[in-house]
Amino acid sequence: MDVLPYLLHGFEVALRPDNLLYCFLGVLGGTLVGVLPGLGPQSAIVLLLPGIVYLDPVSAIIMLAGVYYGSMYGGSTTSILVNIPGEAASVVTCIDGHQMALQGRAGPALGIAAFGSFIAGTFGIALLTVAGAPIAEFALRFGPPEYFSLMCLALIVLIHLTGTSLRRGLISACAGLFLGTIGMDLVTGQPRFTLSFTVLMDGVGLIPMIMGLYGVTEVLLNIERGIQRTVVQHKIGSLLPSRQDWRESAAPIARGTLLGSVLGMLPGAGVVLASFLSYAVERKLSRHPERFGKGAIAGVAGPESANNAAAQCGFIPLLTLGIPANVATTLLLAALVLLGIQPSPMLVQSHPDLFWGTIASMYVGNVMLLVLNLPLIGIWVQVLRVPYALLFPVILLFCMLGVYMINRNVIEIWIMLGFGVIGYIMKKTAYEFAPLVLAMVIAPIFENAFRQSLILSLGSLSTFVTRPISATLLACAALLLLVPLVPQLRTVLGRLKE
Amino acid sequence: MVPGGVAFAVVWSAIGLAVCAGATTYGLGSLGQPQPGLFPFVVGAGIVLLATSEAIACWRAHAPSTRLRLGEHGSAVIVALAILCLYALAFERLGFAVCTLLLFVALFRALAGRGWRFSVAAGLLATVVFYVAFEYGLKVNLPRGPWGF
Repeated sequence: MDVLPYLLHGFEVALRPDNLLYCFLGVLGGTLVGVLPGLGPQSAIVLLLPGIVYLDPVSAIIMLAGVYYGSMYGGSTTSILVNIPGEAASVVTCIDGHQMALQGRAGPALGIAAFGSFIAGTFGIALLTVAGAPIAEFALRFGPPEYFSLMCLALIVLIHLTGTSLRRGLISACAGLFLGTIGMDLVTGQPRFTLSFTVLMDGVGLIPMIMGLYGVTEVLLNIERGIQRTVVQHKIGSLLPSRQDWRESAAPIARGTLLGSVLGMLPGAGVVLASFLSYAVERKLSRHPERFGKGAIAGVAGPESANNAAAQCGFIPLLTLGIPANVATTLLLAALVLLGIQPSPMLVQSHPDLFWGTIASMYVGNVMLLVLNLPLIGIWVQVLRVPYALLFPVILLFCMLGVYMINRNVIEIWIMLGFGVIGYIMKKTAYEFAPLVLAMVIAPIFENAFRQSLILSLGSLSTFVTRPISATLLACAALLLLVPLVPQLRTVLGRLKE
Repeated sequence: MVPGGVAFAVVWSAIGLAVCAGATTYGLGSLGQPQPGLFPFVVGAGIVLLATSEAIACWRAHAPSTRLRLGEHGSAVIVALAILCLYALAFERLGFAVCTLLLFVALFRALAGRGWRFSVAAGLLATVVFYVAFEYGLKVNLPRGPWGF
């Protein structure tokens, strides 16, 4: 498939003034939430969900995608200057980035993070451009059993990524699948589990649920922790890295980019793993591993490149297969559903504007981020001084008005608060709610694929394992389920031998 | 003492059982002709099985890390939730403007530790900004109280 004409069409869409504006707002907002500890890309996407239904779907996704990859840029600022990661993927940047800042080298640390992010992000988008359409074309061969197996795999990889316990992750996913069945049955129109509430006839609202779980729960957890932070007082200095800095960073940027691209494409591997692995690789390969933890620029360049490449490549499974690579892309999937677009391999053909427009907007957004980030560092430092105590009432009000806007019904606020409490309890008892959200989003497609597969195979469950693609996907899922059991099996075998 | 992990797993089991019971009322059908209840029944059964095994595992391990305990500022969470519930209760009765002003004052005073003067001033400012943004910017009809705003 010759991608150039499609990409050019994508640029036509992305360079429309309205889309340029939404892209700018997205990357600016993303950087802002990346900078602010306690607010991540998830919270920002969640806060924007009620508003996007009024936008053109292409503009909405361009903006939300910008928020996501923009936050990867912003996250490094907080890690370097405050030693608190703005978002999870920047945790490792704290180690050497903040040490550099304490040594008066905050400028080069911020500069190399921005340049590395730009290089890696652009490479990731190029990969998405080249690989996206062929993967989607291949996935067009999927029938209901393949879809069912693919979604099983997507759920299990997400559980692997987010959950501390596989069993709890599976419980959470099953709960999400149940929530997704509430409302009218898609085939017969029969109401299920609505408890005679009219508001539940269309199912549990995705926006109140997501805003409750990600908005309210996060605020409650942050209030409980009582966030304290101090901004580094040293002068930031020149943001342009020296020749020596570039020499030390070139190889880590290249390795981080490759590592992040590969891990980003795998559903579930995600940006956090990419940055951690990159740090480990750089430390292992360094001639001076003793410098790591004391301000090694390679410890900033590698992970920052890796997380940006992974963030961009995370769009490959999302846009081509309709399965998210991490929590933030799960929310983007939810956004697509809210906009009335069913994410699937058909997306490339049915919504070329959206597919190619989003890809092209990422090139534009990456340039915007580079141009924005370096001159705006001073402003971000000021933003970091805004206490969380002043931010959280605004976040809570945004959440409440956001859900109220949907149907102008106060019940939506109660549903959101209910999910806020559920999410808080789940977090306190070590249950992750990301699998719940993904399961609820995919539940209608999942159930449909399950029922269609059974009807087509005349009730034979073997249909899932006799078709090669479906069997391969299920085998991968089974393998992932069995991996955590390996240590336990070893212990049992060891005892048996004794 | 029963660890929170066990209690929570038991709650999940009960939810799973309720889902199974509810699903049977919609008809399960057969594998060849599945009815609306089949999928939720399978999901409910999955929750019961997983939650039961989780309860057993927690019971054996006494899982101290999963006990439901409030953190250092735990009481602040309860206060925040109480304020939010009151806001939801009063939202359509007292109207957006009054409720939002009270919400900000309460949150700033009770949770952010700010003085009355700051809380009222910041609350007024935030209320006006949000009112203008939503009522005029986004054209959302916000609820009005007995005073017409």
